[in-house]
Amino acid sequence: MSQTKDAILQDIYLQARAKILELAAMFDRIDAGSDGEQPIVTDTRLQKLNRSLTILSQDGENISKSTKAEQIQLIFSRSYDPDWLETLKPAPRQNA
Amino acid sequence: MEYIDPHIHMVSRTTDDYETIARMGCVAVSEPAFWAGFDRGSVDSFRDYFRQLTVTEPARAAQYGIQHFTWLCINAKEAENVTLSREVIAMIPEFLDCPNVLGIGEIGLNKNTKNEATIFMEHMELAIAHNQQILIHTPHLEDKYQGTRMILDMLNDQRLDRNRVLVDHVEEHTIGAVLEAGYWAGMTLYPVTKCTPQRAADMIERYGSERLMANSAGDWGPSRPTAIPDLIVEMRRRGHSNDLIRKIVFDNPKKFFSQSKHFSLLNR
Repeated sequence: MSQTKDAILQDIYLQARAKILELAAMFDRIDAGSDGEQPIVTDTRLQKLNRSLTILSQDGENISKSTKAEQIQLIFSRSYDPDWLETLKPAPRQNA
Repeated sequence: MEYIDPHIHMVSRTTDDYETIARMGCVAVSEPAFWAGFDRGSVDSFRDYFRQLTVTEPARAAQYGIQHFTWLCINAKEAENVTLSREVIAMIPEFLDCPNVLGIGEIGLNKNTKNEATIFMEHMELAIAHNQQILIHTPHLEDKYQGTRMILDMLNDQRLDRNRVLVDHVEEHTIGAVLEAGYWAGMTLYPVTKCTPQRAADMIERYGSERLMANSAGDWGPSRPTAIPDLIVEMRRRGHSNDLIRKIVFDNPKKFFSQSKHFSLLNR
């Protein structure tokens, strides 16, 4: 990385501002849905979006070595079972 | 800057796209076999498709000074049909000596099912039996992490040379495991469902340039065949050297593909 933090911030500030505003407007659109006050907080998609926003608001110096992008990717990922070969039992032909 | 697009589906792009990418510096493309947008009904459909990949597309590309290379397989989505998949796998050797065939691909997983895994392993056996390189598709969106880890488990076979395997569509949560295991990794520049040029540049800065390349995976869906020039512009904007950029978009794909006896670039 050849740029300083300040230079990067200067570079991306307006883009980040625009994207955060776009996100805010998306959540406003959900709130303004035609079913009014009916809460949808139990919807797992909304829960994943909210967990992602929590990651975004964490201080980058104090979180683990993985990037925020990686942590958010994992929120939207199905889990991996290391024993999947035993449970799924794929059956390739021996003479394939 | 000259570049190679190591993963693009030109059968579903217009001839105008060949002209555009030629003007932007593309000198070679590599086209893995993939899903046509519908499930094909017979092995003969695949035989015709492989003729398109080995005869028609190289001729179309050559009109614009672009070399066309290809990879053969039945894709992960149609691999759910095990009977058809086995017929296609048995037919693939008919085409392995065609002069633009680089190996077996893009094999992989789609929804991470038993049948997909079965056919993935049978493709691996085919590649090993015929000493072919392998190009791998990793699943989309929420299936990517699980599917990539499953693929790495299946690839853990001592008969395979990891340096001859390219794992494509890596993102922030899968690139580390792929590179650490010794495979080549490809970043696909699909702005919504995969990766933007900006995020690809971030990954290059974080993981370095060894065994890493970028592709457009341009196909019949929303995609940009000019995505690699977009990455070049982003890296230049950040002040990266032409040597580093060239390594990602030209030297690395050339080095990986050169392990196939059918790959060589024309002198220009």
